[in-house]
Amino acid sequence: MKKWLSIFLLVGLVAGVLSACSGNGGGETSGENGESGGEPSGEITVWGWNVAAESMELAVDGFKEQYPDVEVKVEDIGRLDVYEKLTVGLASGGNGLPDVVLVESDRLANYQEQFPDALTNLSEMGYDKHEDKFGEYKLSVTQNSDGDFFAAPWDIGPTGVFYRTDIFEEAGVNPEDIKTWDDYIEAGKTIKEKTGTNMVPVDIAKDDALYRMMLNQQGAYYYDEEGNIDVTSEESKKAFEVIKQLNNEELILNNDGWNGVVSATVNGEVATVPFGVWYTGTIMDQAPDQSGQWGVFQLPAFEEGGNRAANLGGSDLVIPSSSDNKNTAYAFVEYFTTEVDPQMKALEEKGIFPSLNSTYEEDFFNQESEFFSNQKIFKLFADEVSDIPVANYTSDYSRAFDTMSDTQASILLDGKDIETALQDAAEKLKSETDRKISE
Amino acid sequence: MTPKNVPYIFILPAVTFFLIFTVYPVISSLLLSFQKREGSEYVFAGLENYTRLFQDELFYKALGNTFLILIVQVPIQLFLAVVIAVALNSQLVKMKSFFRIAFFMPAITALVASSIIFMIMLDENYGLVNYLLSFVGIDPIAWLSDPFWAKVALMAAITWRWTGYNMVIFLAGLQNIPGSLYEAAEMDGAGKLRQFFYITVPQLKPIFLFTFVLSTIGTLQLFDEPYILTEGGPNNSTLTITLYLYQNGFRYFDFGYASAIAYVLVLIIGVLSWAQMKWAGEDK
Repeated sequence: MKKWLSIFLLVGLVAGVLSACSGNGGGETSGENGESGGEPSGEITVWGWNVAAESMELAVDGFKEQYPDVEVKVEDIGRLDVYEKLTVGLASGGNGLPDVVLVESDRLANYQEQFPDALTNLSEMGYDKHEDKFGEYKLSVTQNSDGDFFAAPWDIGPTGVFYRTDIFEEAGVNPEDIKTWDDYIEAGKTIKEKTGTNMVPVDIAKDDALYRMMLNQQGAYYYDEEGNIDVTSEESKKAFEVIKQLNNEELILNNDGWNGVVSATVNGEVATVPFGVWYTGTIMDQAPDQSGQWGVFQLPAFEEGGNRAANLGGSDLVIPSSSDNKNTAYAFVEYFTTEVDPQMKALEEKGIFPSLNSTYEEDFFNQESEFFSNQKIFKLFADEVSDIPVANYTSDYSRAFDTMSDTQASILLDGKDIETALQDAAEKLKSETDRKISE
Repeated sequence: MTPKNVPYIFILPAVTFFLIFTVYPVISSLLLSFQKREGSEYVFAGLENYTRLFQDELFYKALGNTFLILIVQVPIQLFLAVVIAVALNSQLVKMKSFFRIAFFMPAITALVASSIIFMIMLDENYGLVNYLLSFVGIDPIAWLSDPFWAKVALMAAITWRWTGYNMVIFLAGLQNIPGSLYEAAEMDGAGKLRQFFYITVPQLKPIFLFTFVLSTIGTLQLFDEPYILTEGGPNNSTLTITLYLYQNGFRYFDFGYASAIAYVLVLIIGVLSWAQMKWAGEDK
C-alpha cells in the first residue's frame, strides 16, 4: 500500500507540476492558402486585445474595398493570452499561430531575439519604402540590427502629465511654471499643503512606469545601446532620486495595481498622473463628469531646457513565419499601418495614437478637446513624437522590468540606499542574463 | 478478443491519454532541464541549469516563502478544519447541510474570481477590509504592498479556500468512528474533552496524514493566489516556487531553467511526502 501510494502520488505530482511547463498552442489554424505572389486573397486571422483589436476590426471594411477577395478574422483574445500563446507557438515552431499578431513595442525585441527566424522579415516584402514615414524611436523598436523591419510600427505612447485644473487652481499653482522635476516637487508640496491632495499615484511594488519614463526622456533605459546592463547609470540614479524625494515629501499615493491607479485618478486623490497618451481614453471613460477639469503638460525636464519627450507603451504588428497566407497578411499589415484612414479611425473612436507621421497633418490634431479644458492635447502629443529618444528594450526586458519594480519597492518601502539598490539590481541582472554591466 | 484482454481494450483510451499528456511531458521536460536555448535552437547544457539554480538567491527566497507559508498556514487551516468538522458533526448544530455547503463553497469557486474578490476587499485605499478597520480606529494596512502583510493576505486567501475542503474530509472520517467507542467511554466516565483527545484524535490519524500530505503538496505548488493577488511582490516577498517557474518559462522564455526548477520541486515534494508518511508510521 505504502509503495503503491507513493508512486501514485509522485507520478501525479510530476504531472501537476509539469502542466505548468508544457502547454498547448490551441487549435487555431490560419486561413486558407492565398496564391503566393499574386493578388492578396483568402482568409487571415489576426490576434489583438480590447481597443486595439476593435481598431483592427474597424479597418477591415476599408481593407476589403481595396482587396475584395480577402476575409479578415480579428480575434480579441486578451493581452496576456496573446503573449502566452505567441510564446508557446513560436517555441514550438509556429504551431497554432495566426497570420498577424499585435505585440507591444517593449516586448518586441524579446520575441525577435529569442526566435530570430520566427517572424517574417517585412523588409523583404517591401516595407522599407515606408521607412521615412515614422519617427526614429519607432524605427528603433521595429527594425532588427541589420535595419530590416520585423514588425510594422503602429501606435505610440508619447507621455504627458495629466493634471486636475481645479486642484491646481485651488492651490494657486500654474502648470506652466513646472519646467523641471524640482518645480514639480515644489508644486506638489504646495498642492499637498493647500488642498491635502497627493501629487502622483504609483504602484510601488509592481510598476516602475514613472522610472521608465524618466529613463527614456534622458535617453537611457535598462540596457544601453550595446545591450549592456545600464541601471547603474547617472540617469537611472537621477530618476530614483526624484522618485525618492517625491516619496519622502509624502507626495506619492501608493496604489495596488492598475485599478488602484485609475480609482485614485477619478476619485480626485491625486493632482497629477504622468502617463502615456492612451490614458486620455481611460480618464474620459472613467470620469465623464470631470470634463473641463483636466489638462496636460509635458513631463518636467531634469534640468532647465532639457528634453521633455518620452514614450510609454505603444504596439506593433508582426507576421509569424508560420503563416501560410503571408501575402494577404502583409497586405493587411501594410494597409493598417501606413494608410491614414485606419489610423484616424483608431484614434477618433478608440483613442489609439498613431505613429504614422503623415496623420499628424490631419485636422483632428488641431481640434480643441473640451474635456481637457479646450487644450489641443493631441497636437501636444504629436509634436512630442519626433523628440522621443531611442530605447533599447532587448530580449531581457521582462527580467529588468521585474527587477526594477522590486528595486523601486526596496528603495521606497524598505528605505534601501539608491546606490546600493541599483548596484544589487545590476548584479542580479548580470547573473540572470549573462550581459555585462556598462561602465 | 478474449475475456482476458477485454479489460485492456477498455482502459486503452485512458492509458493513451496518460501517455501523451502525462508521461511524454514528464520526460521531455526532464530533457529540457538539461538544455538551454541559443538563438532558436536548444543545445545540451549539462548541469548548467541546476548549478545556476543552486546559486540563485531568488530561488532560495521563493523556497523560503513557500516553506514559511507551509509551516504557518497548513497547521492553522487543518486546525480550523477539524474544529468546524467536529462542530458540524455534533447533534447540537441545526441546519448542518447548509453550513457544510457554505464552508465547502470556496473550494469550488473559480480561483481567479475569488482572488480578484480578495484583491478588491484588501485594496489599501478603497478596500472593504480597511474601511471596516477604520471604524475601530485602525490605520489602513497596506495588505498587498507591504512585505509582511502581503504574506498574511496570501495565507488568509488560501485558508479561506481550503479549510472547507479539508473539513469535508474530516467530516467523513468522523462519521466512520463507531459510536460504540463513545458509548463505552461515557460508561467509563470520560468527559467530552477526554473523548475528543482519546478517541476522536487517534481515530482520525490516517485522515490527518492524508490531509497533511495533500495540503503540503498543494502549498508547494501554490500559484494562482500569489499570481493574481500580488504577482509575487512586493520585492518578491510572496514569490512562490511555481510562480518563479512560471516567470522563467513564460515571461523570460527560459524553458530549460524553468524545467530545472520543476524537477527540483518534484524532488522536494517527493521527499517531503515520503518523510511525512514515514514519520506518521503508516504501515497498515
